[in-house]
Amino acid sequence: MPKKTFREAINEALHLEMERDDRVLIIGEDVSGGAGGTSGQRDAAGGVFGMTKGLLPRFGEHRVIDTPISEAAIIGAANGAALAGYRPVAEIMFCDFVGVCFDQILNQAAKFRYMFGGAKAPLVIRMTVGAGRSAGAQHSQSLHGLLASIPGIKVLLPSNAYDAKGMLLQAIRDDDPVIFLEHKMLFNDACEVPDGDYTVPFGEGVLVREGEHVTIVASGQLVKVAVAAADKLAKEGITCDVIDPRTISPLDEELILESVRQTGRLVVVDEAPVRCGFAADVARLAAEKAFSSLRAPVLPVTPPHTPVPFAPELERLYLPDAADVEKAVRAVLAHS
Amino acid sequence: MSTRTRKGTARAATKPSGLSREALIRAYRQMKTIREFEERLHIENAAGAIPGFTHLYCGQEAVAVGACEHLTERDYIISTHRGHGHCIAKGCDVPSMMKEIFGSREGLNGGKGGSMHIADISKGMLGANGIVGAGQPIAVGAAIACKLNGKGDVALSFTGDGASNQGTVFEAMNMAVVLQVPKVFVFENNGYSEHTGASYGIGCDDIVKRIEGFGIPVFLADGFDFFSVYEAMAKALELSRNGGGPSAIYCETIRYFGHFEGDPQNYRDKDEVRRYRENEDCLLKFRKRMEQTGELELDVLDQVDAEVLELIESSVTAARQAPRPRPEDLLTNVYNSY
Amino acid sequence: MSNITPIRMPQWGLEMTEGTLSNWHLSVGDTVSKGTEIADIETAKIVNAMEAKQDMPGVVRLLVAKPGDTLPVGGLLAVLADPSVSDDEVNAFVAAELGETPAAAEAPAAPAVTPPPAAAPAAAAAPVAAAPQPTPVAPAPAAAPSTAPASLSAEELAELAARNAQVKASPVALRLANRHGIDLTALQGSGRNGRVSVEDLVNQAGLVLAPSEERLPTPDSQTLIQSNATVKASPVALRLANQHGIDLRGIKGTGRHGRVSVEDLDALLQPAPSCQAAAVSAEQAEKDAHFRAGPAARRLAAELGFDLSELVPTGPRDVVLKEDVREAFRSVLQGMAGEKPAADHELIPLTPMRKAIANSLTQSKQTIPHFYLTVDLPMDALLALREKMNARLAAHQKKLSVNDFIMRATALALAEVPDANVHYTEQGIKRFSSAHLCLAVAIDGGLVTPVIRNAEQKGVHALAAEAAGLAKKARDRALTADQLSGGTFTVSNLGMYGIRQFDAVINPPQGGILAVGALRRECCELDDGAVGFRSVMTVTMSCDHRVIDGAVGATFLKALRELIENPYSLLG
Repeated sequence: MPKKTFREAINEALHLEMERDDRVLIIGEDVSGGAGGTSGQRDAAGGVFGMTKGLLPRFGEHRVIDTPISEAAIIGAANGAALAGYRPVAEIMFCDFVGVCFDQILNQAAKFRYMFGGAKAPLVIRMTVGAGRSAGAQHSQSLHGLLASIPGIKVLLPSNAYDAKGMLLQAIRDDDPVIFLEHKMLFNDACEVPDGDYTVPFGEGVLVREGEHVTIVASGQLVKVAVAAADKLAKEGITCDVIDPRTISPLDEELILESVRQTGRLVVVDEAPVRCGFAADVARLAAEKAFSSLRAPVLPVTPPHTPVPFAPELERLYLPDAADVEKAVRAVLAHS
Repeated sequence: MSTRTRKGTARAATKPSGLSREALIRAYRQMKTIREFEERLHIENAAGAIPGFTHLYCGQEAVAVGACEHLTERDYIISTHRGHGHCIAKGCDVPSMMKEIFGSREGLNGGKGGSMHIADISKGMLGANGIVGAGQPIAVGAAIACKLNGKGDVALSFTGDGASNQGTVFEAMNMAVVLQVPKVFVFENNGYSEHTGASYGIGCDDIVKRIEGFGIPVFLADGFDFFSVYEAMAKALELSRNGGGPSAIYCETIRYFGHFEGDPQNYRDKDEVRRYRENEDCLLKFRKRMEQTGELELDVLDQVDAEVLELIESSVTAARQAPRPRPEDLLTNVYNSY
Repeated sequence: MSNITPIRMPQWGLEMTEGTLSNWHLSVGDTVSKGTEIADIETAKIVNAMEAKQDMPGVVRLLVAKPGDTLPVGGLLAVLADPSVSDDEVNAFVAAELGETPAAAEAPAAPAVTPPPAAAPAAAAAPVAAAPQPTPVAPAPAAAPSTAPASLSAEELAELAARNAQVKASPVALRLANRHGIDLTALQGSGRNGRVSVEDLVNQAGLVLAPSEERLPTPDSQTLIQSNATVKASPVALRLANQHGIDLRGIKGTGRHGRVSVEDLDALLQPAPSCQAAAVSAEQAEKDAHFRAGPAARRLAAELGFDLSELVPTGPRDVVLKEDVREAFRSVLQGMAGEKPAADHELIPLTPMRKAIANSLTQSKQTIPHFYLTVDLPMDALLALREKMNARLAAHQKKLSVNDFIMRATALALAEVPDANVHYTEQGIKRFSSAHLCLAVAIDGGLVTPVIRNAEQKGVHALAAEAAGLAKKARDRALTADQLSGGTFTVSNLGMYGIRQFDAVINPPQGGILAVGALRRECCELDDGAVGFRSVMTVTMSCDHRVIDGAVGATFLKALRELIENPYSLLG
């Protein structure tokens, strides 16, 4: 099977689905790029990260829409087109910009179906997330927890190219508003990705490693980090279930609970600070529904309660690494 | 300095309008329905029958009806928090609207939206909206859809003087021009943005200049005169329906009631509303014009009045008796599937 | 779903809240018509056969409750359906009824927890089924212990795993199924998106969940595992060496390419080390899961072999602490003192009846202000009459007991003194015009009090016959709910055991109870001043002072005594 990068997988999904369904639109800043430029070259960017390359020449300006810098209008337009029967895939370049268009997500897209008694708004909003390349506090956040706390939208966070393609295809076909988060540190990671059409269902996580002693739940780029820690511990005979939930909302609560009920120990690794975030929510889940199985407190492994720093060494300190995960695993083991 | 200096010129009131009898009766009926619907809600709200907030449209009927009489079910509109008038004008079912406002599960939104979110997507009414300035970008999206559909349909948004200051409205205007979509911006300046007069919030004192500044042609209308709005809208649609990109109409009007029901309206001269009701009222103007041109007999209008009152009365009765939501309705329609 | 008919735990009598299924009279496939016996149900008071009250549609598809199960009134016992209804539908119906398994029952029932799935998934835009997942699921280097049932060979297990891989299942369910030899293709998935979940394995395949039995590697074993990883050995030899604590560095390898093989370990492989004892058995874990005990306490209890339910909790909110476990262990040690402690007691579980008696009488004693009035009843006249009457009855093999006369006298006395024939209720005192007498009947394992209605209207013979009939039914556990309720006053007789006098506990809501002692001869002063003997019987009336005052009680006893002293007044 061919190996493809995360970026290629996303691009492939968009090409496939736009071909399959006329109602799919792409809308965002520089999704093609070059409009109004002096070189005359259109599709000059194909998206700032290249995810939307090749779409404009193939599907035309009516379906691949470059916009001015107007996040509120972009998401608003996606909302309107979705209500009017289309399947827009809008792009917010960095999830940090969600602040500028938050009303259109929070009060509009998330609530249409409920407020209007059943209206359908099948839009997808792609956003990049994550720290690791010194992009600074306003271009490095992971806002999946914040977004998942809003009823009415779905939030996806694939950790590899295979899941990225399958989940994006599923997202576009899904009739609910979906936020598709792309971790910028994963764009060049490659793995085997089938050529044709396939989807990954929402709400189903995967066991990336299997073990007996501790359950580790990890998301985004931290799945790899958790796996590295688990593999190191396995050499000593300490084995872990490593769960990649893949979708944050809906969450595969069942898988997490099944694993915790066997191991009795839970470590949650997440890239957002723990306060009111995804890690806190998973801990709550275990405390609520697997309390009698727990042999140790649930430990979160997350950044501190700070914005993302700029200097590389500070950013490295900020992000959880394999040593942090290993330390947490040993700490829960020491409890009983 | 007042910003309300732009008045559209109406066709001289003595000339026949050029509309058919049916069209005239329909237009009057729509305006009268809105008027009586809102007047009745004013009473019901004071009696404590309506949960939550209501924002009434009395006085502005000519704008909604003048704009929407041109539209079909395929065209889209999106409204504001003051949405009952637009909703009725777009052809939504009046008894269902009343049920929704009373909170019944048989209401237009299943009792889950209420006055501020009243909607009927199937009729192209994309909802009243509680967020000022949220509707305009959404309407741009609907306009993108219309453009792709290629049938000459348009999307309308209604924008008040208050909303015209919201960043999202500027974004929507710019985006509409950049993408050249069939969008009509209807600006209705009713003189107040909540408790603040229009003159205060609009820095340059001239909404029309701003619209034009974005590159959108604006057609002026007298917001108290159905025919004026109707004609302005015709011009706008000629542009937007035929690939000419976005257009706008601008009207000045007045709201008879407060920003919301319960608003003490301390910002208002006590006599203001009475003056407008007596001298500028759009229904009175319509009647006067029919009298002068002879296009419609007044007893035809009286008949419409009676029918409308009947409709409102029966709607309220039905709404009072309509079934309430069930506990399980709390959890429905969050997602299509989860 | 409307063609599925449930059979539910019935309600017999207002006070019944639960019942225990003793045994089934039905099998899968049976039809049920009016009068068909369904099952034997035991309640606090009776064991009775449950009968169908009308013809039921369909055939028996599933017997949900097992003998010994206790269900609340209305609980699902069994399910009937037309044979054309699929097993899936039946199972789904039952699953919906039964809700979550106990292990997951900690979740509050608040609706806000998870949004329910929408009624119809978007079938129109059905996505293409997911291709088999190539995401790496590499097993950990130290392989998980295989506890597959011995009945499946390695090839069969491999085949099973291949079959299971094609079934939509949660990853943990897949793992457990493969480990325990469960065929997923035979199961109905009720997890997310219809996949097979661990709960399905528990409910449908009888999987018993236990917390991970894999013991933690000790620091020594961790070092050993690290070191063993550096020695050339076959994977199986490596696994066995790690499991059994064998240092591979000391082993000469004779396997392929000189690696250590399993044969090389043969001599050294011991039976499983004794620290397996620390593993908690599945049943124990199930039971313990419901006890409030900290994780440390729980593990220590398991290590020391204690059932948490045996321990006295001293922690806040009755939580068993580690210290409580140690304390229990110390007591055991003290008790041992050199010799093996023999079991000095047996534990008899509380039957529903015992529990009911306990609850009712505890409440009675705690809330009712009892006071006691005792009189000696002169019995000579009554005994003489009885003898005469029994002489005539002997021909019919019938006999009147003293108690039959006591009951008659009590009934008449209550009719005469209705203020003693009362119930206490919060709304007021219920004064009855008729005496519905309860008689206390000892049966195997406890006590029941069947009722004789309108006792004052029944002569001694009728009372005797009815009492005998009820006593037999009581011993056969065949009393109906009607026969057990509605009593206004109770007579309890321990005379046959030689008890001279006792104070009985009132059966609420009754106002009083008469405790009857044994007949005896005693010395007394005769009318002419000489010394003689008489037969007496001591009775004590316990009264609820809220509704019966001393004077009322005394009046009742006076009436009773007069009737006994003039026994002909009992006839007719």
